[in-house]
Amino acid sequence: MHTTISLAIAGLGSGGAIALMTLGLVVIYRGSGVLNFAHGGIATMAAYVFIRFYYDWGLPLPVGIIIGVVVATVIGVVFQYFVIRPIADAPVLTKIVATLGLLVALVNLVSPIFGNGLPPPLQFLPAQRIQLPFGSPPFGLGEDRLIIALVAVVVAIGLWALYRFTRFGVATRAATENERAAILLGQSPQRLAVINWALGSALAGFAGILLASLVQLTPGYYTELMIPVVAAALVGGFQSFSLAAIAGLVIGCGQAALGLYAVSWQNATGVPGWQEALPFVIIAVVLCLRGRSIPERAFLLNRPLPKVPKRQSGKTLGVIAVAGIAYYALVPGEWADPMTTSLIGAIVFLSFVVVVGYVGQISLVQMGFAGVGALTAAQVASISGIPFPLPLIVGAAAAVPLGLLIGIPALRVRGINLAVITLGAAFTLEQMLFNDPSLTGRDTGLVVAAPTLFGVSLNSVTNPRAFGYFVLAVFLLAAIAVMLVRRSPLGMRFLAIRANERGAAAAGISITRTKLAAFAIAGAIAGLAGGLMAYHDLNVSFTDFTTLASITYLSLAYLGGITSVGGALTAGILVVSGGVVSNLFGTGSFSTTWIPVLAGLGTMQIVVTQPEGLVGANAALLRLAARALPQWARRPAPTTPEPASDPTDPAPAAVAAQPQEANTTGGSQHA
Amino acid sequence: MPSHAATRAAPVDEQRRATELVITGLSVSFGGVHALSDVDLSIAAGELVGLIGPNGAGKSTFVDAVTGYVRPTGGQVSFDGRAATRWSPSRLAHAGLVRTFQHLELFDDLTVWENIAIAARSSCRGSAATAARALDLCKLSDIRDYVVTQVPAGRRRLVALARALAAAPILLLADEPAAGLDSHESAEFGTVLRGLVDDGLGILLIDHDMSLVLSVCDRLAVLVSGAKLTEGTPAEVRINKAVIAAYLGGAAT
Repeated sequence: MHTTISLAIAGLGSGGAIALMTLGLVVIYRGSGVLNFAHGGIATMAAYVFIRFYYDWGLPLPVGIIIGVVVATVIGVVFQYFVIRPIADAPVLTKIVATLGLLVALVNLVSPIFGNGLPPPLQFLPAQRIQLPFGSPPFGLGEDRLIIALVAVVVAIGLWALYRFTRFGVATRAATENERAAILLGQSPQRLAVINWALGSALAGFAGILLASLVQLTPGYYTELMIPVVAAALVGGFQSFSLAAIAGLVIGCGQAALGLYAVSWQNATGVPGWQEALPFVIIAVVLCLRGRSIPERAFLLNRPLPKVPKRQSGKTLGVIAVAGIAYYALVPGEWADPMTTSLIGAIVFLSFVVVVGYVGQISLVQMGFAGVGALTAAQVASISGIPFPLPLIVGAAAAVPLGLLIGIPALRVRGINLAVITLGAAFTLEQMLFNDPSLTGRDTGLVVAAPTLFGVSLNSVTNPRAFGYFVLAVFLLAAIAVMLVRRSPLGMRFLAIRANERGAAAAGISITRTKLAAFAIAGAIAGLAGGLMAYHDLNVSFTDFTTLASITYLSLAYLGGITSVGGALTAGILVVSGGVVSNLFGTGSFSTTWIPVLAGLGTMQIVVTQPEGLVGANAALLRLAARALPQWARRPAPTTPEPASDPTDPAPAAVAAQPQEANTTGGSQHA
Repeated sequence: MPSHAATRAAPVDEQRRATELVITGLSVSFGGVHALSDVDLSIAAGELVGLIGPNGAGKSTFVDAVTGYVRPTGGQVSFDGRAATRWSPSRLAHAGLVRTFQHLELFDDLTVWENIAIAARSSCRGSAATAARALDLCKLSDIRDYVVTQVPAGRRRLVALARALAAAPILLLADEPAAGLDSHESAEFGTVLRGLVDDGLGILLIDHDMSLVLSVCDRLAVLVSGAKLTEGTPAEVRINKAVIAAYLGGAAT
């Protein structure tokens, strides 16, 4: 017991940092209604800047802290001004993706700016142990931990007073309720939003700097910290500063105190990660209990979600198939593998198309599904020895129940809360499953036997073309499935739910079954991709299936085009690390670091200007080009489009009657 | 609409006549505030009942509570002889109790026809024929392939009505379906509703347009501050002193 309490007291330090970050997150949420997933990225950047100025260049401590905080503030303000303001009236999903884009850009900027090495342990706060006046023997508390916790408490009180008593605070509170009310108070909502972003980002930076005195900083550390931070914010309902600060401190202390038990639970159950995962599990349960199975009357949003292209024609797939076969047949051998990597990435993106693009549900756990698919395929292949394509199918099937499990919260929880739950699920999978050395061989990886099919070796290293053809075939099958879903009655129900859940329920659509179907399909596709990754790598490293990977993939999927097969393929080829374009730039720093940075920046740009993604931008260009062509140069519109997909469809006439538009020329690209 | 009546199959009519929505003692409170207290109302197929009341009287809450959008804190709903309290909206729709919304809740990024077809197909009662009939009845054929956001606001209400009718309801709870129509359009709309009812549909009509409600309804219920003030024929309600005091005032005529 004594040990538990002293551990809990030691947790005051990280608890204080969690509380500080939470306060910043709540400030931003109250000021603009955005859950800023990039908060951890801002903290990271501030901490690294601080280290550069204070430790590397030897500036005085206060100067270092101020510079770090200023950098954080500037990032927040610029992001608010150029990205968040233009999409103020967009759906929650769009705003979340924008913050994910910023997160991806910031996290990946760390190594090109500050190098790959881990920063030194700093310990810049005084770390004398204070004897507390209770316990026997008396409990001790490091001064650094006490300082951070006290700072959090002081900031919480300060913010409470600021929002309670100042004109700015009152106006922000009014603007949360009603923007017009703020205008009546003589405050511009935009100005309020900028100030709140500045304040919140400064707090993120400050927290990031202080915590760097206690922990070993890594680029991903503060991103993972976002899970307890969001949890604390949820306890305060994203409104209350005092509850948020208290919750942050309690979570920090609780996690530290759990440390001992976590070890014994791990020994008892063989599952690691209890300490990290438990807070999330509690939060998921609370959110589900608090959630509603049908959303309340919503307010009006002027910017719709990205359009789902009506007809993604079979012709497109034909073009992709021919181009893919030609690619593998013609390019030099060393170019085969990057295409394969791109195509496997594109299959992951297809899973996003179903759950995010069609149904509008936020899922940050798709790489977790892929990891489960990889793990299952690899283990099944080595244990049971069933022949090659079967382990892939088993892997995909294994992700289905998981998809259903994660779909259950989506029945009652929406928007930012669903993002939080799926993020937490990804983190839990990472901590409890992928970090389990007995299952995944954490440090050495898991070896998979190279596959053969009908006597042909599909070894991705020695026979990359053959493996490439196989992956191409799987991609095409998955793409066909995703297109058929779009045209099926189920696909119509998907779109109906995306457009309006209340209306969908009134029209007799079972929200439960439809959402679960989406998560199951998306899980299966991602699991399939994971299995392919296992057979591609032959030595599976489960560090590929982290929470950050899921976040990055959602951002990339949006960049390519979240609503279409063509978008998934575009993202696969352009931005997947190790894929075709990344390989064009070789293995140097450009492809490993700058492509992700550009992808993050591109995501922010895309959500503001072109919600249909790069593929949508592309199609718009082609339509313009087609319009510029003289009349005689255009091919006549195809008179018989696709064979009617479903004879019971009451709407084939409507589909056929869709204006063919000017995209007869561009149609083949606009998948 | 004569063809409409003629083409309907007889067995459906039989079922419709027998069907009744009975609401007893329905109450809803939101954190201590009684939005609805102890409301009784029943609507049978082939009957047009009006529900009127001043803004904030709880009319929409009433529909929400009956159709599973708000959890009632007390009372019973029975539909077609079965206890249907707290049924999900989709289950009610399948059973034949369909609603429209004051705020329409259309599928904005889909076309008019897709909105209607989805409802026809998702409800086990709907069919391609009911979808086509709903499109015709609401005179939407000319804009069937327009995306909802391109449709003028007035006609969006008709899209919402068509979507509800496509599910082939036995009873329709229509939440302000005529809002925003001018007096001529409103009168025409009344004729359409009356025609549907004469064909055997039961309708609960919630509206602010007193001349519409008084002229087409068989029966009226008046809701004030979450409680039912009175119920009766339009003629009775029109001269009820309490109603005049509470709601109609000078605006009645």
